[in-house]
Amino acid sequence: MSDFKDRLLKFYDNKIVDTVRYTEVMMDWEAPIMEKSAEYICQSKGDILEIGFGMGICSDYIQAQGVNSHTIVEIHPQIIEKLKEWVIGKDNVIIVEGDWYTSELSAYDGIFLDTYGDDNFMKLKEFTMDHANNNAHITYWNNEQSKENKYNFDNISWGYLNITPEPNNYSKIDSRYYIPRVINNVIH
Amino acid sequence: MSFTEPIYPANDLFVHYKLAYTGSSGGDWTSTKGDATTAGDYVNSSEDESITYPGIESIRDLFRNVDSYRCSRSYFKFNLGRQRGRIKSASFHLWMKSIGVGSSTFHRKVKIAEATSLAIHKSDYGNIFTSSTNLGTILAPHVIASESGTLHEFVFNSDGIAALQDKLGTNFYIGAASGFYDIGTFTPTAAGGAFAAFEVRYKEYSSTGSDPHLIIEYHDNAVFMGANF
Repeated sequence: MSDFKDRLLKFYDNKIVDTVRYTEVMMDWEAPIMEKSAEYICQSKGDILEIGFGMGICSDYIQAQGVNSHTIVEIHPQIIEKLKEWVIGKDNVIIVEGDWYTSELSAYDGIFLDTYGDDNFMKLKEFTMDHANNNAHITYWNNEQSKENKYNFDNISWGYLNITPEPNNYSKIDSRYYIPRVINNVIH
Repeated sequence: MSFTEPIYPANDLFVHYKLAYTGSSGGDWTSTKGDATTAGDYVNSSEDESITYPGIESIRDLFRNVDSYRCSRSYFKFNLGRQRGRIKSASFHLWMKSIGVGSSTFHRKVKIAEATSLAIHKSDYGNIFTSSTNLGTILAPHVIASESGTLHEFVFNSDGIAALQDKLGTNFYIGAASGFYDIGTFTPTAAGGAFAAFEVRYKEYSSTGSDPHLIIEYHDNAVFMGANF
């Protein structure tokens, strides 16, 4: 059982670090990835679910898309504090505190999963069966330097970005990020 | 007997680390440990990376959307170009602090082995192996690292002394790794279980008081004398 939510995080201008595992939770070099991910999941401009707030980089890009609603699930108390500051003045944001997999959530037109220390990270496909609208656009943080369909989604395609990661202790990404592009084709 | 002054490592010493993911193309613990040809990622210790990354680590945990093994080793290069004589004893001193988790002291075990020459490149990750998965000479009995952090002493065994003797006049490389998992037979358990991790201080840490160093003791009058020379 992951104890991530009990670990002390340290916040820098360019990253968040898990001080117990000496591992970055998120870094600002990921911004281009976050921008493309936000563009993909927000194509409908409908109801968007963002799982994991992190540094709020993707959240800013989602807001810039002018979506109908923007639900953000976050489990770590220190990040929740940051989220509550960030949300001020943003009327379309719904904050859900806790574990995304066991929280009461609706159905969405776009979903982005980007968690850390998450026991349920492999349950995304199962989750989308109940929480993704038909034609919902889904993506997730792809830590591999490859097109790995780790969730076995049926309707997946790939985009890519050439990037220059800063030194880190959490990803295998070297020079290219492969963006998973899933379209949910299950009609509820 | 004559002892050397502490011999400090060259500046180009690095932490090397490697990632692999369970249940994906990344592999398992065995492939994470790799072999002599396995490349990892590396971190230059001159940036005081002992604070940012564990210098030695064997862990499985949940990180960013992955269930991942991670293995780190630290390498040290000593220039022994001016060293001559017949070695009586030797010791390697390394500041370490155990930050791992386990029910006993096994997770705090660190071993050192002779490493092959560093290219200062990602390819150095496997340099603790001489070929395939054959480890370099184990230089000393394992040390149990403290949980508060201090300078520890690895006292060279006879194999270690022989390996060091063989490298007098040239460079000598030491690799430090988890003595239970990496240079051991066990596999880090799943997230939330036992693992090994150590802060390590390098030459550039801030003061020489905690710098890694070698101390060599020579037999008297052995320099350039006797049948072996």
